[in-house]
Amino acid sequence: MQDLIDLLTSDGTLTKEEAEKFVIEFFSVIEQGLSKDELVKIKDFGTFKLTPIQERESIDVNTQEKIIIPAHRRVSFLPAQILKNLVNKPFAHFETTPLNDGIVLENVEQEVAFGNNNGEDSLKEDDEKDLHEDKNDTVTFIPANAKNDLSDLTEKEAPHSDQKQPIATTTNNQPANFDERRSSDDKPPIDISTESKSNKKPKRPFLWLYITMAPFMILVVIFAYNFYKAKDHPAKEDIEESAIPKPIQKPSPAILDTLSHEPTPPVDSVYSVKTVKMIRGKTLRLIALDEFGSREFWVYIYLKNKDKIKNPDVVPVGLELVLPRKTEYAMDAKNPEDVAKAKKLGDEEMKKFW
Amino acid sequence: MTNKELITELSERLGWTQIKVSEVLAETIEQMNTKLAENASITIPNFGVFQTRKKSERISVNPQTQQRFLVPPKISVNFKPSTILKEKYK
Repeated sequence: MQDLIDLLTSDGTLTKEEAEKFVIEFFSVIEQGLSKDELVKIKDFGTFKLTPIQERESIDVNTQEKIIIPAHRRVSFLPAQILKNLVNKPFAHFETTPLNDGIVLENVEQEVAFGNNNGEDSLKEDDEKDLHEDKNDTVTFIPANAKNDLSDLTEKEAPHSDQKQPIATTTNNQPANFDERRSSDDKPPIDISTESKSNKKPKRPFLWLYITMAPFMILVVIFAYNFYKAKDHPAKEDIEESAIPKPIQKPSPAILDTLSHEPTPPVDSVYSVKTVKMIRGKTLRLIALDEFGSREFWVYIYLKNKDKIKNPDVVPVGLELVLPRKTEYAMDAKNPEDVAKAKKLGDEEMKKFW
Repeated sequence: MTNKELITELSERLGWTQIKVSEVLAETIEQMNTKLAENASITIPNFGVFQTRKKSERISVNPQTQQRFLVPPKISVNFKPSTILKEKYK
């Protein structure tokens, strides 16, 4: 509140006392309006409302006795559309997309695996994903719905990853911890699973099976990693390796599909033009944003490097990307037409990978 | 209570003109919105806290068609009334 008052006085039209008085009165008028009409609308901000809540039974936490919570009213706040959009700006480019069956989301570029429920067996998903990774070794695969630029998503997700269902967390976190141990100099990747509202019923037996299996898996993976390191494969440091046979998992066509999507190995390029090395956590969109001022121009980077990038959603770490010259394409971030053109082009390119 | 009534009430209480009140109100709202857009929380003593919450992405199913949708993550504004305010309207 003090900040708010300071901000109000900063443009010089109000004195500190006035601003303070205003803010205090503002909120007390809202309270008054609530008691009078049960509803206060504030333009461009939102609506305060008193919502009635029915009485219900509950159990006293301390005494375990049944108590009745009497009917009461609660103050609720509905943000205005303008505020909603403003706050949601970082995620504004996402759209709701229909999902196809049997899709497994993976993103080896950042080593952040994405959960994707097959409707009923969300619990085994996370482990399953690890298995896919193991199986396919260097294979990455991002399906149709990755239109949303998953790598982008994961970055923003990372700090919030513990908002998951508790069950999912137990199975998930272990691989994440393991990664942490393994790559002390890298940012620890975090597994993220989509919350499944859509679960028909959780499969309990699988859960227990996986919880018990997790430590074994970790051991095997650590062993495999050490073994791997001994052999010194520099280019593959980002890939999970382990070769446990997976009893429960049936390879779906989607997984087999991934085999054909193998990323090309890093190419040493001797170009005179500007190049950018793909590092962990970078996406084509982010590079485009840095270099050209708009994320939509990623498609031009992709087109320029089409021989090296098989799937624009899966760009191997360490790959040298040749940046197109600004004159090569119409790339004016301030020109909405250019941006729209690039977006259209990008959408068309992405369709090829659906 | 609409925005208009709010301005009228405020101008009476403060003894300011309605124009001034609406200007200051717009400024206040703008500042609050910018703060919220920066993911900062706004605490108003004896009133409540405005916060932004991140809702993670989820899969929703259309019960009629069984079609599944990936609903993207979003950030939304959340208001938590203070205990005093809660008690007042109980």
